[in-house]
Amino acid sequence: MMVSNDVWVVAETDRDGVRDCTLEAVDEGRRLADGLLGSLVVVALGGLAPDARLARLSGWNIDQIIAVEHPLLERYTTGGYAAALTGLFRDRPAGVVLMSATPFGQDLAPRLAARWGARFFGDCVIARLTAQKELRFVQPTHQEKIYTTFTCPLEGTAVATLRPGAIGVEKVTSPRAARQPEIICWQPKIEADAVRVQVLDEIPGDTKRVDLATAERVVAGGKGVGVKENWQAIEALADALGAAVGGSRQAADLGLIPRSRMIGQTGKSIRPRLYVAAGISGVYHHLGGVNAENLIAINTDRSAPIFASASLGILGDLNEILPRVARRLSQAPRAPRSGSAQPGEAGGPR
Amino acid sequence: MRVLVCVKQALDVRVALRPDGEGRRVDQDEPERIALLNPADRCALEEAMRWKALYGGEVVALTLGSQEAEAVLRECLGRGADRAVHLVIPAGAALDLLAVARQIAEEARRGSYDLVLCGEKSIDEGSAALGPMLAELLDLPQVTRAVTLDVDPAQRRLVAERLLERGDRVRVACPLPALVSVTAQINEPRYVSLHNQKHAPMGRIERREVGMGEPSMYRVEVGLPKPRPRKVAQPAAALSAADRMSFLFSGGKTQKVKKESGIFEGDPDAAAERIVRFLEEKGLV
Repeated sequence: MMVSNDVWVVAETDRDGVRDCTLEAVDEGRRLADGLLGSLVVVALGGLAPDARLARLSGWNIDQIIAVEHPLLERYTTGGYAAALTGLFRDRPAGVVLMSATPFGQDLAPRLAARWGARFFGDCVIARLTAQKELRFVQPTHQEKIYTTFTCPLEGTAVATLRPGAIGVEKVTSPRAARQPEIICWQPKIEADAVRVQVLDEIPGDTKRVDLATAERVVAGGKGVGVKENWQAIEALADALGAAVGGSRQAADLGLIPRSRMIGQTGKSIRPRLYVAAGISGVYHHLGGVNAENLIAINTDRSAPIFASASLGILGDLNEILPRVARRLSQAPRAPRSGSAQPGEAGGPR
Repeated sequence: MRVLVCVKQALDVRVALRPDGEGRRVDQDEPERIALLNPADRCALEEAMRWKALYGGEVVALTLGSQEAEAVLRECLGRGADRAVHLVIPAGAALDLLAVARQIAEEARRGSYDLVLCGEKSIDEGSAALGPMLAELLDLPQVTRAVTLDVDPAQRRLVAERLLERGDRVRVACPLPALVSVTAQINEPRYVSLHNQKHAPMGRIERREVGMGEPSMYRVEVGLPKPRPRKVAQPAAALSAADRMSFLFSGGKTQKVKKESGIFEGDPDAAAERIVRFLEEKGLV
C-alpha cells in the first residue's frame, strides 16, 4: 500500500510565476492521480502572498493548491524547503511527489527521498501507472543514448524529478477544467537552525554566453556579416532578446566567433524556440545542427537555402535591419516612430 | 583537514552503446568493457588535493562497486589520494540509490570527515542523487552543482558558487563539516603520468564486502530512445539537383517550410517592423 493516493507536484516559480516545467509535471501528475484515484495537489512554497505567482495554475485540472508560506522560504535553501515540505508530508502524506529536474528539484528531491525513506527516480521523461498497478519511470541515461525503465510497486512513497521540456507544455494533452482548485494556506514551523547554507548573493549569467545546446533563443551570424565591426549588430540584437550568440562555419573561419560557438553538423546542435540567422545562407551542413521552433532568416540573397526553412524570411541587409529591431525591442513600451530613422534607404538585394 | 571523496566507475559513454539482447544491460560496441573514473568525480578529487596542499590533512577516496571498480581507486591513489576504501558488492548486483547512499554514509561516519566531496552526476546512469542523499543521511549541509569552492578550515566555513540555469550562479556559505557536489567545470584535473598511475601504492586500498539486499525498485529494461520522426527541410528549388539531394540525405532537421510565409521585402524599417510583429505574435517578446 502506498502511504496515500495523493500526488504532489512541488511548484517552481520565477519572476513570471509558475514555470513551464511545473505545468508539465502537473500534466504528468494528473494522469498518475487519476490512475491512483487520488487528488492532485500542487505545493507552492514561498515567502508571503503567493497569489500572483500562482495565477498561471488557474484553468489546470488541479484538485488542491497548498501555499506554504514562511519568511524563511523567501529564497530557496535546501534546509528551509526540506523542513517545510517534511512538516507538510508528516501532516498529510503523499504517494507520489513530482518535481522538475532543475537545479532546484535536483538539489531538494533526493534529500527529501532520503529523509522520508522514499524511492527516488531522477531526471525522468515519463512517469506512469502501468496496467499491472506499478509505477513506471523512464530515465534517459548514458548521455541519452539509452533509455532505462524502472518500476516499483505501489508501496510507501515515490519521489521523482521530471526533465523540463520532455513533454513540452504546448503539447500537454490532459483536459483542462473550468473549476478553480481549492487553495489552502499552510504555515510550517521551521527551526532557524534548519537553514545551514546561507545565500550570499545571486550572480546573473551572461545570456550571450550560455550553452548553445540548451539556449532558448539564439542569434547567429554568418559570412553576410562581413567584417568584425558589423558583428555588433548581432550582439545588440542578442542583448535585446536575451539570446545566446552563435555563428556559422564561415563566421568561425573569419574569426568572428570562437569555434566553440559554431552551429551546425560539426559544431553545436541547437534546438531553440527562436533562432535568428543573419547573413547565413543555410547550407545543409549548417541546418543539420538546427532544430528551431521559429526561424527568422535575414539575407540579401533571394536564393539562399535558409529561406526554405524559415518561418519568417527577410530579404535585406542585416546591418540595417538588426540595429533597428534591437532599438525597437529595447524601447518598451514601443514608442511611436520618431523621425530618427532615415526613410528610403535601399535595403534590397545588391 | 580530512576530506572524503566519493568516486564512481562509469561506463565510457563516448563509444557506441546498445542494450544487450534481453534489454537488461548496456553493452559497448567494443571487444572489452571500457570504464573510467567519472569526470566530475575526478574533479572532486582534484579539488580535495588542492585543499590538502594548502592545509594538510588526509584525502580518502571511496567507491562502491564490483571487483572491477578497484581500477578507479588505483587512479585516485596515483593522483595523490592518501588511502582508498572499496565497498565491494557482488558483480551484477541490483542497485538501489538510497541503499547505496546508506552504505556510503555508514562508511563516512567512521572517518569524521570535515568535507565530503562527490561529483554532481555520473556520465552513465547519473541521477545526481548521491550527494543530497548522503548529506541527509550524515545530517550535513549540502552544496550541489558547485563551480567554485573556497574552504577556510580555521573559520570552519566554506564559500561556494552553485551553477543554476542559463548561466546564473548563486554564492553560498555554510559551516563545516559539509557535503559539496562539484561539476566538471570546477577545475582542470592535473596530468598524471601512466607510470605514476601504475605505481600507485596498492596496499592502501581497504576492501570491505557489503551486501546490498533486495532493491526497492527494479530496472526492468534498457532500450534505445525512440526515434523522433524526422522533419526534413524542403530544399530550395533554386539549388542544383546534386545540392538538393545532399540536402535531403544529410537530414536537415528544421521544420518544413510553412506555406503562408513568403520572403518579406521592403525597406529596413518595414523589415524591422515585420520582425518585431512576428516576435510579438509568437509571444517571444
